[in-house]
Amino acid sequence: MASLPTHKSHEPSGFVAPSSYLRRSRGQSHPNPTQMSYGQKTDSESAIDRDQRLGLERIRDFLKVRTSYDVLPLSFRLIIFDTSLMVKKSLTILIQNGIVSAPLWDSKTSTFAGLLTTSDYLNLIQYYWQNPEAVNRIDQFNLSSLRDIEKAIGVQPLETISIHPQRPLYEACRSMLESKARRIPLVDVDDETRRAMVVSVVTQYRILKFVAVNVSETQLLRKPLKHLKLGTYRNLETARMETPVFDVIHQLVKDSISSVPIVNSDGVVTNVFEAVDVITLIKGGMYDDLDLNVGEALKKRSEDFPGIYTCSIDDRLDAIFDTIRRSRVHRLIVIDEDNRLTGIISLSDILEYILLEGEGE
Amino acid sequence: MGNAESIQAYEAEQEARRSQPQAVPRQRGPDSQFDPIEPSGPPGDPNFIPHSNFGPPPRLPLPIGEEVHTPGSPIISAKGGLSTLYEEDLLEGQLPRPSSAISNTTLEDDEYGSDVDSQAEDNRVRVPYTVHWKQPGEKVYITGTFTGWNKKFRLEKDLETGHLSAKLQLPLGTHHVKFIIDGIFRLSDELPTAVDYTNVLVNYIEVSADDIPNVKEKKSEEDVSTPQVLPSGTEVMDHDPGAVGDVQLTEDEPEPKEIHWGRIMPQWIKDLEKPEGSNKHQRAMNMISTLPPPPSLPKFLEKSILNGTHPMKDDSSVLSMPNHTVLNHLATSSIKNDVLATSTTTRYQKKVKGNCKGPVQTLTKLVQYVTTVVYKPTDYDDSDDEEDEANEANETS
Repeated sequence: MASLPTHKSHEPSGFVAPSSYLRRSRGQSHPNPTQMSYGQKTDSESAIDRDQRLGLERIRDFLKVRTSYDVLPLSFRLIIFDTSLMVKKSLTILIQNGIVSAPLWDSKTSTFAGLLTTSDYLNLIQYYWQNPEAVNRIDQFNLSSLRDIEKAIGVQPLETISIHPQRPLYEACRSMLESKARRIPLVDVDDETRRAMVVSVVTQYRILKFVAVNVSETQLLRKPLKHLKLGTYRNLETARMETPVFDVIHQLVKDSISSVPIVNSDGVVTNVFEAVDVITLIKGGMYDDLDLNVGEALKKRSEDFPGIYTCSIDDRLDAIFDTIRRSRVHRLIVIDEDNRLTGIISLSDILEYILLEGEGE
Repeated sequence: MGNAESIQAYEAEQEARRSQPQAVPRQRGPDSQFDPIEPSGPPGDPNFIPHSNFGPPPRLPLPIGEEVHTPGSPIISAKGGLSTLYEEDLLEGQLPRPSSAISNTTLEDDEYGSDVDSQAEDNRVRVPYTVHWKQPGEKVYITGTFTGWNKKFRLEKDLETGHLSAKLQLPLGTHHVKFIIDGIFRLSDELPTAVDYTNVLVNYIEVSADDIPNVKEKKSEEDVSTPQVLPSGTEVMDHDPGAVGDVQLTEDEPEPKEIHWGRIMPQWIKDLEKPEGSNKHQRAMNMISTLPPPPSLPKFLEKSILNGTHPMKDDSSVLSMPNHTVLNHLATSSIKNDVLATSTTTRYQKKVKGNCKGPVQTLTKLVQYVTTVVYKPTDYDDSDDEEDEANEANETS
């Protein structure tokens, strides 16, 4: 989702908070045309706008003060894969541990070798599709050969961005938005060996959860979604239960999206196919299950699937943050009163909004 | 390498070949693992340590791991007390906060003085700890898991420095704390932060046995039940050896005497290999029946935090606090599918700005516990022999 110019926050504010003086002066000289589309502005609306702006500023202040390190719990686990690990075995281990990505370690050079994510498996499937004769070799691939595969099919290599744990969280978020990464490894230098070491991996989900739990000003975000440029509402990729799962995977790769809503003939949302569903799909003998249709593929989901979260365009960000605080939300499907698909709000969309809205970039 | 030995002994037991019983008296940890049945050791066996001596582990507080299952321990309150509070709040969609700390009563009603007599209600060893607040604020309180989040303590102005401070008596362990400044929860910039199991950002204070002042050891017998801390000005120059037994702070492990230690395996153990029914075999079997059971796996190794339950059901990457005895040990899984997993728990360092008087200095603090698991293939040579090792769980230190 592109960051569009804001249609609010330009009314002179009678409310001055300490952070007001820290704000960059924005292009006040050219009034925003979309502002007029609201028609007559009442006082109460501008109060909402003001609160919305204040809330966003507080969140940004928080993200600038806090470091990626602060997001980490007191005791946590980090699972690292050696790059010589076979692709097939890596899938089993991901499922065993209930994770969907892992940093890679090249033990020949003792270096951090990027992050393994579901995109890499999607790329592998693409490769298989383009080179069906390679199916026997695919079983022999190890994780380091994923790079060659990705080169062969002409996609971006493994995510290699990283950030020092003590850089502000804000930087980590910006870095993720720029690279369209959904997670970022925290990499520090080991005092003894002077080599890079991965401390943890921070996801967009964890950052938003951290904000939702610790920034009470998220309660100020009371503007309904329909008045925000937040989420995707046009040209949505969708699929039916009968769609071959391979076609859906292709949709995921083509638009680098993390999910495709499954709708019925009336446009009613019945489910969502997520990129992480691919892992359970190809774990066994690899790619036989790709001939299934979406409905069959989704039956393989694990028992503890958290479910699909929906909202309407009348919902507000404060409620969305409440939901994030309480639950394991990775995206919200926007539906109308008849449960028909209206849009999708990804965690990246939310992150982008709270970081960039009104920043004039 | 003592650990490795004890595990070998353990494994040997698994195979019903009780080897190396000599190792018993050396291991305190394993000793305490004996079933509360009478050991079958012969009376007068110098290797036999009566149960009454099995007491606390050598280094007194196992501040983290051992306390997890103790009701009222700081860790359990962090998990139980705190998170239940939060869960309730979460259900209502409210901002999570320890609601009992901000009760409807006025601040004065449930305020506790900083002398904190009410804290000393159990027998846990407490250590005086002074918290400071140098950020703005008039009415400043501290609360935390050390009181189950349901009491708060006022910070008073120190006449010398002009800063607010309170002297607390904290049990050993890790305590999550927050400050209440004029009715609002705040964090101190001077204490390390981390998120608790509900993702709430908290300060925390770590109290280890090293923080116990020497005066503790000088306590008389009756002081043990009602710990009191002498004024911090009291200087105790000499270590009083007579008081060591009160609080077992030192590794005063009773050294068993008249035991022959050696590297040569006794003949009768070798005789176990002899054919069943033979005299030598029978004699060896009789010998075994007179021995105490070999040590089992040390308790702290049984409790790998990776094998334990996850404190957060949603997030398997959040682990419970590790027992410090497992730090910097390498643990391995059994080899499955030619993949070996090794794990090690270390403390990750954080550099924070010092809060000492004078120029701000950078201090290194060991803060979070990182348990790193590395999966690596073992199939450099393709022999199937590796499967034989599959049942072994090795630990080296």
